[in-house]
Amino acid sequence: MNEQERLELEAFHDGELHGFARLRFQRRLRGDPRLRAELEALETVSRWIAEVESAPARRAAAPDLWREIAGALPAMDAQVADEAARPPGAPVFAARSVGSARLATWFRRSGVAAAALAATAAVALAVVLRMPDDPGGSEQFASGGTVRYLDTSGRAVLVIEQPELDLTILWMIDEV
Amino acid sequence: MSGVKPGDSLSRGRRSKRHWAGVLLATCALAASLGPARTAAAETIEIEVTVAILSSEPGKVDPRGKKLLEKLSSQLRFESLKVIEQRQLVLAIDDVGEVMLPNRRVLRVKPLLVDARGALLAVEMEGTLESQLRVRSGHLVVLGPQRYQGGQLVVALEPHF
Repeated sequence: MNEQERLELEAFHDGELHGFARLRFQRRLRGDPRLRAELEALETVSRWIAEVESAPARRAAAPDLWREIAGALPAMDAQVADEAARPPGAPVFAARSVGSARLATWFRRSGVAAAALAATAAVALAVVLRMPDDPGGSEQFASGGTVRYLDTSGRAVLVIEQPELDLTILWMIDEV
Repeated sequence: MSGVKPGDSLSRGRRSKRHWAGVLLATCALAASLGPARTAAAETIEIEVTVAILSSEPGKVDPRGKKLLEKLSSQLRFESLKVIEQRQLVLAIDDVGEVMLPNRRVLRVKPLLVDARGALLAVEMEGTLESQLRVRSGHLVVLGPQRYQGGQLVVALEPHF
């Protein structure tokens, strides 16, 4: 619908079309279902406005929708930011001690120490664990897959991620 | 066009009101389509918790551990699997579910976030590890082991949402 048609429709709805102009428009309405649908939509919106304006008590209690929408957005943003920015060691559960004095995670271990540990673990593991056929499916260092944070209080752990099996294993090596 | 007075302030006011009412309705419809769906999706998640003992000693495989067996058998070598406990935790975001393990240690699970990419779960196996895991619905996570009664105590978590 172009601007001229829009103006004419609104004028007709508002009772501002008179005489022949009104008759012409009514004839067009009879033959154009699209125009009739537009008029119906216009009447609905006008009815809604009239209801809101005619109810002072309801107007006083009417929720501030923009504020509610805007109020919910920071919480959603905070959740996303929280996941991205949660510092390792930040308490998630109620106060308890799980090696809290040693919060170094295996992500923080030096590369050399971790590599040496992994090599030792691999030898030990050959006895009790069967390594997956796909070398890419067993990762001794989580690279941002399922495991986002891991604290084992400094103990060696093996992370096996098998996306094709929908499986992740966190296996404490020194408990074997 | 007779009868139309574009410069009429009453007409302009009425049309302006209708225009902004239309914008507001469209925004509300959009918010309604996003908000409740997101809320419904994030309300609760079910986590199936299976506590089992794996052993290298010959023995039976508990039928309740069949799914666990199928997934683990390609990764771990064991001769028997015994399911100690199997239960469903139904948790809302930030609810903490606790399961007492047979060795008197506690497993805690807390959903932090559920969105289109899956659920972010905080998991603590007391005395063993603390982790945050990003998992899709149906993804199995196995934690352990803890030495127990000559075998390896493991916990399997399978969230559904």
